[in-house]
Amino acid sequence: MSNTVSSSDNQNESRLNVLIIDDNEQITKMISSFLDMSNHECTVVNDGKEGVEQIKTHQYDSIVLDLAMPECDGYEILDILAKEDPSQLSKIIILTASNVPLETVRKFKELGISSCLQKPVDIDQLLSKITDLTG
Amino acid sequence: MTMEEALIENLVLGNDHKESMKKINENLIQYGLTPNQAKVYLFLTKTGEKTASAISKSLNIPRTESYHLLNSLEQKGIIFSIFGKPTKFNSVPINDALTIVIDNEKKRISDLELKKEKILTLWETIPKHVEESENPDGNKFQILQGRNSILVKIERMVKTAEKEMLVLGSDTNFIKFYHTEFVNLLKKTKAELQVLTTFSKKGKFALDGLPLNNIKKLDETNRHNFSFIIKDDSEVVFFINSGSSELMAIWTDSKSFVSTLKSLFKLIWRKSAFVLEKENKFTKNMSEDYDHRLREIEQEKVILDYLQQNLMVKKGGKNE
Repeated sequence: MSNTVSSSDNQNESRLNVLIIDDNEQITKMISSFLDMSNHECTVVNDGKEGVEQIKTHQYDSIVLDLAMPECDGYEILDILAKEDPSQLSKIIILTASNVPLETVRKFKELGISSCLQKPVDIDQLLSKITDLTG
Repeated sequence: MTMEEALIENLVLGNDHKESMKKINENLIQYGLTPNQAKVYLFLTKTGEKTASAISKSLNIPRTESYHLLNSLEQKGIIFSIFGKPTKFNSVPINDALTIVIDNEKKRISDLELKKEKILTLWETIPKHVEESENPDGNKFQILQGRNSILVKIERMVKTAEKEMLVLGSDTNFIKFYHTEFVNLLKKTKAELQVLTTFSKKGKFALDGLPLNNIKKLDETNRHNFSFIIKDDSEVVFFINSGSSELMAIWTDSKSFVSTLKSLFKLIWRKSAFVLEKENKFTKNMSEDYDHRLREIEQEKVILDYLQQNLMVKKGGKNE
């Protein structure tokens, strides 16, 4: 089964440090579990402001970011990073349940954002996006 | 203030409404009434019909002046006299009075427009003694004082722009021109438009309708108190922070001034990020919210399936 293959394969791959920013606690817990099963380290934050603080103070190999969050949303996080630390943008994988207009997806690409995925997304696809970032 | 005036004011208005009355008075002055005309009009509106002498006494205005004021207000069409001895005066209701004053002003402007054509036709018949301009690209400067004179200039610039319009300023500046033709003209301009602005949550409504891919956000370091608008490579209007409430700006076609500000604009433009289309889940309609939630649930299910499969495989592995 493809799911188990990717999981077992990851045992041998290098351990990645992944940050998840999503206000849906259910989803963050579950993503955190499968990343843990895949032998990756995972930090979870459920609000945008805390997410920005984490990015500023820690080094992550990959950042999974939701767009629609109360108070500081994903767009604001992208704005802040574009101004203050654009190198972080290439580590970002947007994972959103929102409808993102094509024009905005183009802008994400211009900013250097790695991927924009709409929920529900296949876990293998998400895992491969995360691991692809480290080359 | 006379005793009677104070009495009437307290009786008619009460202390709570004095402030509102003062504001209405100030606004009527903007409608072209003199302070005393506004005072007389409001007095009649509040107290009902009165003789000239009663008005003069109550408002402490000399008798002769009160006749002048009543006469001018009657000519404007916002008060009327009632036949009788002595003649009494009363006012047109405020809503009608404002409409009348606005209509008069519109009429005056359309008359001026008609006269403009006549003056220009007459002007053409007069032989020229001076060349049009010795220096067409010249270093002309103009100080623009007040919102209206600035507005006329910047609207003209947008209308005649062929190549590009570069606009830099905080959205609090745009709010001053909200509901004017300026923002509408910017939306329609054929020239390439670039707007650098603060795009704050409170003020961005003033830019509603402008394409977001033409707007970049001014970052904190560039939020100085300066604003300017450049048309093509030829004209600039630079806003001056004079400290007074009245808007002031300098217009110039000086090549060196225009190119210096354009270089500054382009530098900030390069360093600034585009305003991303914001999506606020609280303002989305119900159907979008439903779809959003549905996708979240489906995602949860996909992850749950994945976790279950993996746990079963692990368990199976252990049992073997």
